[in-house]
Amino acid sequence: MDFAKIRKSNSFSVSIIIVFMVVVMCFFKRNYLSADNISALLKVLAVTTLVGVSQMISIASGGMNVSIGSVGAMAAILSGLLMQNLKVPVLLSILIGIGIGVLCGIINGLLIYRNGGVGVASFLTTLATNSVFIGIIYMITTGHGVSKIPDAFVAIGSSKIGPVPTSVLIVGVLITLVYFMFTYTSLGRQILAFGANPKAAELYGISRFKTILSVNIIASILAAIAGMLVVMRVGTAQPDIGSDWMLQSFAAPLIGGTRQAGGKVVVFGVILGALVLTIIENALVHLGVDVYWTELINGVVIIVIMAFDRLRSIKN
Amino acid sequence: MKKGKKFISIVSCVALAAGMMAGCKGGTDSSSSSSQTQDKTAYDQSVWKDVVEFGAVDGKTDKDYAFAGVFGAINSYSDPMQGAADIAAEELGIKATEFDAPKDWVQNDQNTILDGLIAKGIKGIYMMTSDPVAGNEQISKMTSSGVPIVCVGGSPSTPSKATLTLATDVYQAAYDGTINLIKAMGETGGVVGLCGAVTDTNTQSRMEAIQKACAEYPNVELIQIIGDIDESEASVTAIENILAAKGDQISGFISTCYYPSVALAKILSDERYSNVHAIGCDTDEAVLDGIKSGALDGTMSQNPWGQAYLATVTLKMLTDGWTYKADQDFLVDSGSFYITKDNADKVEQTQMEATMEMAKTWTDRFDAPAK
Repeated sequence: MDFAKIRKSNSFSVSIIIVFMVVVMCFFKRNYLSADNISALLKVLAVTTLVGVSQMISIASGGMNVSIGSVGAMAAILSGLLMQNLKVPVLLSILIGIGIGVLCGIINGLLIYRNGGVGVASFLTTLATNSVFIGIIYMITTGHGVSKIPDAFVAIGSSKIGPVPTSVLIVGVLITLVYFMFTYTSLGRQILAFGANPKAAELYGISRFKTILSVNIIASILAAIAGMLVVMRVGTAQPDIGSDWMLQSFAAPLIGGTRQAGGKVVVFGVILGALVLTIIENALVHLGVDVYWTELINGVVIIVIMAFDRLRSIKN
Repeated sequence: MKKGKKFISIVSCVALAAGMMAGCKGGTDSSSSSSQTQDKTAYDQSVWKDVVEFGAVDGKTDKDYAFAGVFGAINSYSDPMQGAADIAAEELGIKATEFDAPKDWVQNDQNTILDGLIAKGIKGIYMMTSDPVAGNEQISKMTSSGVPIVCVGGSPSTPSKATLTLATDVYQAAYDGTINLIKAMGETGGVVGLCGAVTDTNTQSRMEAIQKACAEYPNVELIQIIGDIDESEASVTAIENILAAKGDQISGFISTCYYPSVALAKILSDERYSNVHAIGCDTDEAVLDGIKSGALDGTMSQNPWGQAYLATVTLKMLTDGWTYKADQDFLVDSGSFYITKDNADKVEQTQMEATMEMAKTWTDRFDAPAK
């Protein structure tokens, strides 16, 4: 790949933005690149990236999934309760958590398929299932967190191998698998083809049902793992897990270069998009921004970066 | 293909139901309603004996004493409320109370619950509004139809048609918590405040209290107040970020909301932060565990038990014909307590003792009904 092509890529421009942000922060805060801060950034980055990849898969198929947060919470709470109340072994609880993701994905997939497939149908359907999943969580927990999480479970995502948090390694493996799926498997290519033009894809023999079901199962598995990673990081399973994932789940893939209308993904671009979001959140605390301004600045910076990227792509 | 889809649907539903049952098993016990009793033993042993009448007064029936509590949202803060209300109901010889709350802090959802309770015959309600302004409209509607309202947990916007509000003086609790922190720090070092939604007037009061307490000590510096972090992930992220940014300046954290308190209990259990002090908020299990493990120095407990207990007594008195004196304050401080390792196992007992102190003079705030 020649440099001219790299220079025109979305990832290049986002990387420039990230470098600029880090340089500015280092200018204002000498200890910005301290080991503690890099560790704090990486832990947040891992979950944000996974949430972004989960949404990216839905976007790639021409849909969207607003129930990612509640699926993550379902997996986190139910696996936590199994460990706390029934003393289910850690690994089995993780598998059940993933199974809950599969189940939620099947429910979403079936309902989206029945309601027309992609676009607004997927939005409305997952909006409804989001409400159902949250309702189930509150019904089970009555608003209480699960606090007796075994140390062995927490250690899986909050330990370090060398300087790198294990949560980052877990997400690294998962995102690589997703990259291979989109690059080398027929399922990945079918999802992209379906996202680019569903009718044409069906004429070529791609099953609408199988594609929608697969997309939702994979997206929900990743959301379930993200939910459990949050428990590993926080140390308790709280019913509010995933409640603030909505913005980051869309912003990370879109900043990273995923096509809003579906049909094109930049898997590793999601990491860059998530890094932008993580740096903004981290920088607001480092700079001691007044509490009344943080939400506004957070939103404005994301909009400016997305607008900048859109202008660049129009120019290209 | 159709059979396959049907099979997947059935398996999905069965598995979801099984998961829910697994989650429910051994979960929190919410069955706290007690049966009504006409046994006067509890009354005879209570402070209300010969002050407030037992059971229905002349001209009233048991149905006139059907009371309910409605909190602003599902929240662990309200856990002791129904139990406390039922103890009051037992002491006063009235029906056991009901309790409900909407999922989120949405006034419209709470209104639906309130309208439903009144439709089924509830004659008096103690409640925390989901929204202090919009909730006041609903309070006006209910009181105009003859249902007395006592607010608990937090005050609606004033003026209000509610009889009174039993709540924590949030300014005083935050101030006391910060002073306790500063003393634990040896009256020197940097303080970080962790707060909830900055649009909430209670949060603004808490922030002012933290600033004032820090300003009173010349060797204490308020490093930063971080707001809008009453969520599990946001609070962990904010605390990790501030420790990474200014860890060398931080000697203590004061948390005025739930999730940052839980996050502090987890993060400060790391030996690296053994010299960092912290005061949490409320008495959730995770916070108390944090105190017992030494990650937190203590927590500022509120008094939801006393709020529900005294609110139920008040509803009984209002139904009996008592009236709240015009010269009494609308907002009654239900107290806040500093919980440390020493009294972490006696939270409810501490709340009950403080409540019973208030109960001794509670009827002084009211005019008795004409005989």
